[in-house]
Amino acid sequence: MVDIHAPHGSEARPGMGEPGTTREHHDHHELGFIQKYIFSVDHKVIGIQFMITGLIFFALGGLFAMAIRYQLAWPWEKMPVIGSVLFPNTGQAITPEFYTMLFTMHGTIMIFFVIIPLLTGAFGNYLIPLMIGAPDMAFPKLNMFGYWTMIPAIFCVFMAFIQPGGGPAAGWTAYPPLSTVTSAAPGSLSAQTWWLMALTWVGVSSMMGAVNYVTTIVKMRAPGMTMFRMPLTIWALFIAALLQLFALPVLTAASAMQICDRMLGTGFFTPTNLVVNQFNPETAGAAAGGQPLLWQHLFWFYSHPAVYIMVVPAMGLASDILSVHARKPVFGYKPMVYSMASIAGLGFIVWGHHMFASGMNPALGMTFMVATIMIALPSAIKVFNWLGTLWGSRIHLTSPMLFALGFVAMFIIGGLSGIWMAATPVDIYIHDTYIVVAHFHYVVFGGSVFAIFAAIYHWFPKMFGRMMNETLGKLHFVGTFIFTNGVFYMMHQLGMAGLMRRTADPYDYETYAHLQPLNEFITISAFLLFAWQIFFVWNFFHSMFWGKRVGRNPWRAASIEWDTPSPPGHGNFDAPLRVYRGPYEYASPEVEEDFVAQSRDLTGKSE
Amino acid sequence: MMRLLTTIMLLALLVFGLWSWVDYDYWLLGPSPAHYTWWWPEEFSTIGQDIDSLFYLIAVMVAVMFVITMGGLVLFTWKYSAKRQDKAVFSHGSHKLELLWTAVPAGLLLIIAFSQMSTFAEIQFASATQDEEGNDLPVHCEIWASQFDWRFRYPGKDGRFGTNDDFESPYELVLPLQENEEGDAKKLVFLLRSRDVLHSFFVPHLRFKRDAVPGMTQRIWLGIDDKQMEEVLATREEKSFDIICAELCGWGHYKMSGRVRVLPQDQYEAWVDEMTAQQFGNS
Amino acid sequence: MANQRTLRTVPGRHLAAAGLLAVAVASCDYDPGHADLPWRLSLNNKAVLADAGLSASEAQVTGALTTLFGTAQNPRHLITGDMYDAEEDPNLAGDLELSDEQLEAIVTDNRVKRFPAQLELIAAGRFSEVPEPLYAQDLWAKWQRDFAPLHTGTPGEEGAPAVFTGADEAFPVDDIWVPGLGDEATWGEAATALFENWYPSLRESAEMYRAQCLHCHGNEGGGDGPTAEFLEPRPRDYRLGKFKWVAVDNGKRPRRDDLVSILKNGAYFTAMPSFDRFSEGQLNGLADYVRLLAMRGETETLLALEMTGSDTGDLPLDTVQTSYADVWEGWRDAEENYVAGEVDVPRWDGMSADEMVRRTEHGRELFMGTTANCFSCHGADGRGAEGATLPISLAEVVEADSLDADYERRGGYRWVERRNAKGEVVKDKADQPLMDLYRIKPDDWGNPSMPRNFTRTIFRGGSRPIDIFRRVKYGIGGTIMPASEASLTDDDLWDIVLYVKHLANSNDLAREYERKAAAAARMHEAEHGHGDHAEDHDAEEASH
Repeated sequence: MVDIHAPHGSEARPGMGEPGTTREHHDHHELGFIQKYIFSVDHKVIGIQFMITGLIFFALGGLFAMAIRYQLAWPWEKMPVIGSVLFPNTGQAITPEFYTMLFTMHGTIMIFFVIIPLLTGAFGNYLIPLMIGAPDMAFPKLNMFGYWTMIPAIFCVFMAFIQPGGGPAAGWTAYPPLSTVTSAAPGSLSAQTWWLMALTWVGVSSMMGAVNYVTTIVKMRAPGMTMFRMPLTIWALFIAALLQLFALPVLTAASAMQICDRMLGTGFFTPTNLVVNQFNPETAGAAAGGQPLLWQHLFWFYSHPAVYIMVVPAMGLASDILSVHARKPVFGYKPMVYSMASIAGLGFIVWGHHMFASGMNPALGMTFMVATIMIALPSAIKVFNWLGTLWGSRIHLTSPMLFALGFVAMFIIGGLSGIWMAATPVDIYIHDTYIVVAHFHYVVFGGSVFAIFAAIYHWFPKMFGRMMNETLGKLHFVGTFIFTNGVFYMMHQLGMAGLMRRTADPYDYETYAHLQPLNEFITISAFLLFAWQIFFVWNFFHSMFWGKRVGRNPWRAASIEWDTPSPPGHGNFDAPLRVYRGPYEYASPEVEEDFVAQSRDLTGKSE
Repeated sequence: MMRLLTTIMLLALLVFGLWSWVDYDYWLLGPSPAHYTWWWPEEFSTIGQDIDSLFYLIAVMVAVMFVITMGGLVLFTWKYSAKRQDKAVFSHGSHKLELLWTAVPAGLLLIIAFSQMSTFAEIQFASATQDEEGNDLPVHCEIWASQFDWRFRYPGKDGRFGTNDDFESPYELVLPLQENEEGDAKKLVFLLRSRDVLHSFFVPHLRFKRDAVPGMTQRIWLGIDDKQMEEVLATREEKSFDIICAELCGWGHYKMSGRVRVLPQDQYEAWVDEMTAQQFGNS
Repeated sequence: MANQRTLRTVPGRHLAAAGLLAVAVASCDYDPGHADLPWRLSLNNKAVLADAGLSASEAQVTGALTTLFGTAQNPRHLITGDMYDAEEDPNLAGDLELSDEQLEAIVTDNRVKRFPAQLELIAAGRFSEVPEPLYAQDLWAKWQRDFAPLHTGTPGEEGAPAVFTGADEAFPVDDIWVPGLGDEATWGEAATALFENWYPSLRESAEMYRAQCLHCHGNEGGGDGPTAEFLEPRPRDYRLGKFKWVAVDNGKRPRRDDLVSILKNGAYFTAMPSFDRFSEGQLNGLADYVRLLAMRGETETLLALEMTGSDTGDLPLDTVQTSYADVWEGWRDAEENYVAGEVDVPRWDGMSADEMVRRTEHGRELFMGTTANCFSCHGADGRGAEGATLPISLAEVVEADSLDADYERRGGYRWVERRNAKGEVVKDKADQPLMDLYRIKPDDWGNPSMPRNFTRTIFRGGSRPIDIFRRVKYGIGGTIMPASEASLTDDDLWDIVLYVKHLANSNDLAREYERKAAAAARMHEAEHGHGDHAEDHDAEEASH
């Protein structure tokens, strides 16, 4: 019986029962600390490793954001801490090239070291075997390498900071020739090469993960777990892994080309007769005759699908959490799956919408516009289905549910504002303005990060066997929700006034002169948003050791990961497992309780 | 308590989201300064009107969708988070509803997509800078982008580039108000080029933006709506408008500024005379 | 079901407290300002003093400089007795040196560009809402001091902005000084005049300099700000008092107009952009401040030399005064350095094709000749530093070590060690066509000289004939570009300029575009059999 009142002793049972699959059972589970927690092949430990790494980088990327916001509110005035340490010669004000480095690394870290590792690395690793009833990943060692190839990536990123010029500064999109010609920017000296190598390592890590996820999901489902009985989280991670498999090689090739341009004197992206900062690469023996737009095509061929890698798993997580805490089946399970699949499919033919103003063939622009506008359709279907899920439900406003509701609200705003950007003529005005910044922060912060918070609150009991503090969780939600909107909703306003991204000091322009008070408001909201996360940090680490112990299934959820002890031992399931139904049988009239677990056999004896 | 709070927060977002279309600037941000609102700047180009109305077309549809979805979220959050002992509705979905909310948004989105096309073609297609017979229209001036400067090179009185009467105008792009035979604004064609890295030529008041790509020469055009322009000019003493670089071009990206000034034909000719005199002047 | 109560709701008072905190923080008007940034001695002068064993006396020089120029936070020129007698005051540079048209332009710019928001609110009587302008702390202090008491105007209906109702009342002209105000004025007129007649004080210009210029040009104007090391060419070091893109005789002090003109136009295709977005007053103010920094740098060098040259190693007061007076003399009389203001510029646009060809050919001969000797640096193809070969007859061969050691980092060039003709190991540039260039004597600022490539159509100091003429005739101060030989007449020089322009024009990208378009038209004709464009094209070709 899966019961919230399960005796506290239940999770003290050794987690090494007979797994419900044919995987061989290892007897020697007396692993040393290093093997158990550091070089672990256990998907759960690796998932938690990814999560801790991601959260640490989240703080770092957040600090970069704070510095950016500080400069925008009070340009060229003395900056606390950073100013006195790094800039004694400018009266503690940051320098313009440092500002370019800040937003470059903010974007890079948040995308490649926070969101993708947290969603696919942490939750992908942790949840996939548990939710499909497998004892571990298909390739545990490959999985371990997947985490440990993040270490060279992290090394490369930190190396990039200590290069002359002070860190890569060509934007996270690294458009050449700014990024390839060494004289073009201080950050393009050698830091850019380290940046490219970091990206390549992250790509290798993601690739290993993606291979593992796809194989595991296809081959290692528990008996009775058909594809259409998988939770939407698994579907989402499956689709994201496929996206990575198909898109990543292009990014890897593109960054290899850029490394060649920078180090071997090729000229993939360097046009002829180019002189930047009085330096002509051709006189130094480099080839030329390349085309800067080529990089944009290659980069966005990966990086647009990457946007969906960042939001599709979040959609899956949110769907699951909404269903559990609303005590109601997900509305339209199959349409949800199909819409995620079509987001992924269409995601490959919309990259050109980043290039509407680039001088790309306008006929191509038209095609990309239609595809881009149509990609709003599956997103709309998902929103309607989430609302359908909430309709007639019994919502329990727990921390995960609050963040999931926040996710839906933010995703509505972020999704709708995207339609303007897809429309080419309108995009001509709003391209690269703060509207774009507002849009993708609503999707990536309001969307993905809210879903990540929801998922952490939701699966924390499973990960550590202890609850996170609900009061602090709710407090965390309220502040985060208010300040997130305080920061990002206002950015729409900046964008409507025409404010460009990546502008260190816009107030000397007549068009922008009046925007400083608004930027000051946003900055203060951003500081509060950042500071507010202390509730989460404290709650997370405190609850990890001193939180209230829970049984197997504190949320009374139906999917099978809750059949395991909290935390699950090595090999996950301690009893033979068979799946009888879909993952969302809440409020079923068949039984007394308001949910039927996936593994519960209603035909024979009651559990 | 949490139920009320959550609902209020979501409702506030809904109200705020809608209100932002009306007027919430004053109480939040104080008075807007001379000639600028918190909304986008006034426009006076021939395509600006189209772009703005397409924006509002999308805005209407988006507002409807926003009210429906966000309203639903607020309503359901309030209604179904009440403490009740009975079970939720047991439903796995509705085929009819799915069809409805696939077909209707699909239709709306297609309307949006197709309504954009003609304007986009008018702005960016090669035919936009050609006459009816497919010949390139004459070039008004060259726009050169470099780290971190805009330079505008005029062909001078002979109308040809690469001659000694070419003159350069740093910082300021001067445009004439010209009409064609039908009395419409004449298209002014420019060659947009970059000397070093990527830049982007952005004039908020003209709703125009295009990247300057090194190695590529782009023919772009601008058209000035004279009535609109007079209205805009009447509200301000400063007669020129910002040009902004919209693509990251290095550490000095934020410094890369210019201005656009539009002059009536006679004043424009006087300006060309003056610039030619300066070109051969000794000051 | 039953464990619902274990999940406690958030206590209301916590939320209220958090909300209040948020409001409190959001409503405070935070202004971090700048940290103090003292002027330092240049590394060069420190080395000079150290060589003479006078490092301990650096404070004397610093002290003297502080007396003469104030501090970076409060810069001002000392008025010596002689200057007072001669009614000279560099602090009031703007008032004393500007022409009526310039003053008028400053007022216009203040009205439309600098303070439109402030003036609009003043006109509406909304004195209390006037926002603080950037880089105008002295003006703002005066506004707050003399006009702030009026901020408590009577508000109209609820929610309406406070309007100062006394704007039409007489202004106490005798008690409060407002520039440019007549004997009788109202409060409204006085407030308007305060903003319209604003001319930045040196302190205000220093503030702007710190935000806009410092990261390249450095706090002391030494061209050594944090960004400078990545720039090619290096930002100008003002402390030599020499500027390149000026209309003055070789190496002499520039006029105010020269500095303002560079601020407005930028030095094309360098990291010095156009600052035309700032108002006339601000740019003139910046020129004042640049002059102060240059004078400070020159004085510093003189003082250091005087100190090492004297027997005692002391800095007597009269030495300081003489040095200061010498430096000031150069700047005071800068207007007299103006050259070629009267010269007749040939109107090439009206010239016949034959005449053009003849004169261009003459220019080419001079360019290639040994009198003008242009080719020896700029190359026979006019590609200068970027040319395939570079005769170095004029260039003084120096050891590569004497070049700026940071050069490699800035341009991304690589250095190699190789043996020169004498068999010594020297550092040299890696195999590149430009190799020879780096044996050319560095300029006065220590950077390698880079003879201009004329085929790029880029002229940093301006592309007008007169701009190039000034370079040819008077040279470029501080560089190896010399003034012209006396044996060359102005007409000869104009022909050289014409040839230089020809080099630029004939390599013009626009021509290339025209050629491509013509080729496309020819193909079009070949396909469609129209002959009408061919004639146009031939005519074009002929005129080239």
